[in-house]
Amino acid sequence: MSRIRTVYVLSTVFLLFPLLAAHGEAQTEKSVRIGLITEQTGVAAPSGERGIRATKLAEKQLNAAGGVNGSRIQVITYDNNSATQGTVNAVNKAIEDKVIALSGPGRSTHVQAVSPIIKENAIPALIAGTAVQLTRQGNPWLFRVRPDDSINGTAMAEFMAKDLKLTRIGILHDADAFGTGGADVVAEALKKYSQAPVRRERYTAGTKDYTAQLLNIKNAGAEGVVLYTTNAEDAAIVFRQIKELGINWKIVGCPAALSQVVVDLVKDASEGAYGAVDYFAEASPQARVFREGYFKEYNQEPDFQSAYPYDSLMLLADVMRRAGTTTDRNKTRDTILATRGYKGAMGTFNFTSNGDGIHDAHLIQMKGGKPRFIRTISVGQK
Amino acid sequence: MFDVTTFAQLFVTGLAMGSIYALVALSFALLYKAVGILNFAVGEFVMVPGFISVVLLTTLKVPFLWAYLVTLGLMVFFGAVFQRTVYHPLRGRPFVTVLVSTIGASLFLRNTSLLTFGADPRVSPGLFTAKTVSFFGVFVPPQYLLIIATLIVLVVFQYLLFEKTLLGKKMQATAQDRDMARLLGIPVDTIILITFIYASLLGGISGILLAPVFYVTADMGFMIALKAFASSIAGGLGSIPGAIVGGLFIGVVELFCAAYISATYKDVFAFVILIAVLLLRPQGFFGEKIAEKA
Amino acid sequence: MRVKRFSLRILFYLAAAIVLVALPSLVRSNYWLGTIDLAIIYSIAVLGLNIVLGLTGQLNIAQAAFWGIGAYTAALLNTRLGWPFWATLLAAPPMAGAFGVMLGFPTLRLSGRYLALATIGFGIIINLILHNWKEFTGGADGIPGIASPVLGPFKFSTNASFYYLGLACLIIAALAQLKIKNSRMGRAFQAVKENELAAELSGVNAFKYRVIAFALCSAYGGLAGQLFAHRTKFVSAETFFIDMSILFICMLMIGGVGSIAGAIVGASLLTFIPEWLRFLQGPWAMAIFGLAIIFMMVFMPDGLAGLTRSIVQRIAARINPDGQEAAGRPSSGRIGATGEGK
Repeated sequence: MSRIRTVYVLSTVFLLFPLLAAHGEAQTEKSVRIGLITEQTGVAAPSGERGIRATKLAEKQLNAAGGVNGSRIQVITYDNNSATQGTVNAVNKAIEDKVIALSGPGRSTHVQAVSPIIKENAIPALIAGTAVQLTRQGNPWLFRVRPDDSINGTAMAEFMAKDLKLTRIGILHDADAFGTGGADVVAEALKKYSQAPVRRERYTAGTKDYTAQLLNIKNAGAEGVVLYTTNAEDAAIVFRQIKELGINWKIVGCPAALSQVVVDLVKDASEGAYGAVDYFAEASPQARVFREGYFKEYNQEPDFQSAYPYDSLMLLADVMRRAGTTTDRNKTRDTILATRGYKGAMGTFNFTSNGDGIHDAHLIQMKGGKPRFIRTISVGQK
Repeated sequence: MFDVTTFAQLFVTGLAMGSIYALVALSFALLYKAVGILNFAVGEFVMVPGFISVVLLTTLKVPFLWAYLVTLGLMVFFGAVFQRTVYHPLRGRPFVTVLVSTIGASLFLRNTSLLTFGADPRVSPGLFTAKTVSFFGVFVPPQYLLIIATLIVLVVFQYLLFEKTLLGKKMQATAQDRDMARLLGIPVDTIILITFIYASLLGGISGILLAPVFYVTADMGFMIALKAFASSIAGGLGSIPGAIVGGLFIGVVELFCAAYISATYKDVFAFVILIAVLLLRPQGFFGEKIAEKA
Repeated sequence: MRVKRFSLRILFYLAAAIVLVALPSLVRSNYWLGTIDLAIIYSIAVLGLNIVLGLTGQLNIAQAAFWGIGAYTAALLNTRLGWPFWATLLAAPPMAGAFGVMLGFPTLRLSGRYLALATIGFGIIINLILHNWKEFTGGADGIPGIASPVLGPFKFSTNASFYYLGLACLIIAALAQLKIKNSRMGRAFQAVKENELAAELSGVNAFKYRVIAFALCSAYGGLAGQLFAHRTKFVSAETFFIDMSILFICMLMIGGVGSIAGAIVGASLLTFIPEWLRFLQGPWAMAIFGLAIIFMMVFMPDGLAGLTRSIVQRIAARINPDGQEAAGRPSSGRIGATGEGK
């Protein structure tokens, strides 16, 4: 009998826990709460950290200039542990804490997982996942602040075929949604130039060695290679190993392949590589200003993983100012979609009806450890 | 594609990766042999010294030899602390309990590393300035040669340690039969502590060797640990030469499978080998026949 | 005495029932209800693990893979063939169970540590297949658009309504396990764990019962997966990875191996704790969690169930020093040694 009793004691005491925890947090009046859904722990913590820094910088700058419509901006960070389920928990908590908008998630599978929740709760979310279908699934509350894969991928293909005049192109990509989606777009875009990739190789994130993949692409006779990598250290190892294997390709990388983290790791192994980047410090005055502010605050060179969260918050503030409200979500939504010509660090935002905000890719080449601007390619609908 | 150069390239790279696996598998196998535990934190045994060496070499700009010695010295300390906190209070308990405890340790280490060293991947400068050496069209980064050479040196050293020194013989005796060793007057607890420290040092060497070529992140230990398990099983759990051969085997085979079968599934091959070995020859290459009991 | 004990028991049952049924109204927060739903799903998976680890003493580090197989089965049947929740409910557990037999058959002859490592390999292989087989599993994109359960006009689309569904499944799963435990099969499991040789000599085919236990374990995992799929409406392979398998084992160890209540408590606790610790930003919470695991292994080897048991026994002994309470075997520190009771 005592055993069964222990069960009851245990279960009743412990059923009380959620009740205890269910009391909401104290509301800070007169502050506009924005939920930042990001990676503080787990494999993507490096990129998450850059986003957090940038968002905090934006928050600081906005509040120093008086906030929005008289209210302070308050950014609350929610860790998703770099995991899909973690993102679901994070978004649920954020909604619970009555944030009026979300910045993030930044990864396509994470966005996919929380899309139903966002739709159900009618909360505007500025997302950065680049899988094309995210904004084409009928969720009117997702607004993308980065060019989607179709834009970067198409720009990269065009650049390789027209500018570099390559005819034998290989693709090395991460097996995840981002890498595979990007590779698909590039392969599709190459058809326009009557080309098909000579070899496609993929890898699972965290692979320490790419000799097999690189040799396969080399043996297929590639003269150039497209890198669609998701994580910084994978890209870094790839660059290094290409160099070590003595292979002489023209490399065109996706935005993640030439992020600041990668460049810092590989130093001269990325010399001469080309890339399509979303954010480029010299592309516009706003980009330059952002870079100076970020560098001054953190003594770190920012890249797109800092730029888009910064733009998300700034854009939200601007939208709320124009809409004249911080609480009316429908008005916020309409104002976002009506945004034309908003100049952010990422570029000029022109929102299409399905929620895509940026349509440019900047092509750069690494020279002397620094990206040198080549040209901007605008893709798709305006 | 099936030319000698490609084969040789794959082989050399595979040996280098395999040497790392072998070193880590060795650490894992030693602890299994000595105290019967499956150390799920073995990956962190590599990650922690990796970060330490990076910080010493880049931030503190300590000269190479000193940096390596200090790192190894800290790993001695690390091994001792690990033994005392994660294993010692649980000695004699079922292996699942200890296993879960090592999991807790792994989680703790990964996250304190994140807090201490930050989230960005780090690289340490290598000993060599030359980027690659080329033999007949096969490109070999000198660091790979160092890794393979270190493994060879270590194998010889370990053989001498275990077979020719008193300490080594005591370690073997303790591993084979703890009670008997105690009866013979061997200070079993101290020997176990020393075994942990030695396993920790093996991790330290791996971490130092890895850092210049494969970068160090807080989460890197996970995959490394899994490969170590596979290598250990392939070679025969609890067999020291087995761990080494298993590691090299897996390093080479998975690369060849990646090149010729499917690169995406590269990680799968190590585990397919693991399962195949378990099904066909559970004792691996070198293990003794294992009794079929729970 | 007997009357008093009897009515005390009724009181407990009643109180528990009231709390459980009224929970969504007591816990108004949608976020916490969502966490409770997740705790229920995890509890079912961990209950499955309890059969293998608690009852037959084998270590299965692939429970997340079976969870994933159940989830993907439900997802595919629902989105590709239009099967509703009730149909996938019947399909997912047996599918996972079949995979369990597939893994168990060749490997259960091996001893504990080898089996553990084999399950690791299996889990990783399954995860990679789910992740990469784009044509069949959607690959890295996962499978979105899974439907909520529907019963007539009523749609279980909120966290609160799903709670009842999940709770019902959990109660059935727990009662089923109680039944198994006290049945002939359960005794066979116990025998195999305690002393395999003696069991064989008594005519118990150890291997056969181990495979059955494994199949049941994976079936439970499959059920948890099916519920998960219909609740989150999206599955992607990265969720069903070995770190979840490891988490399930921690949940069971902390709750108390061999104890049904322990499995549920452990799973729920480890679901709530990361959420409670949210105020501690990121890595701090996880680092503390890691330490807490070590701590619990050292000081509470029988988990919370064992701890509670010994506390209650001590209290009972003080209340009733002369009479013998239903004798509980003292905790002896071995896994599942005191595995009776709920």
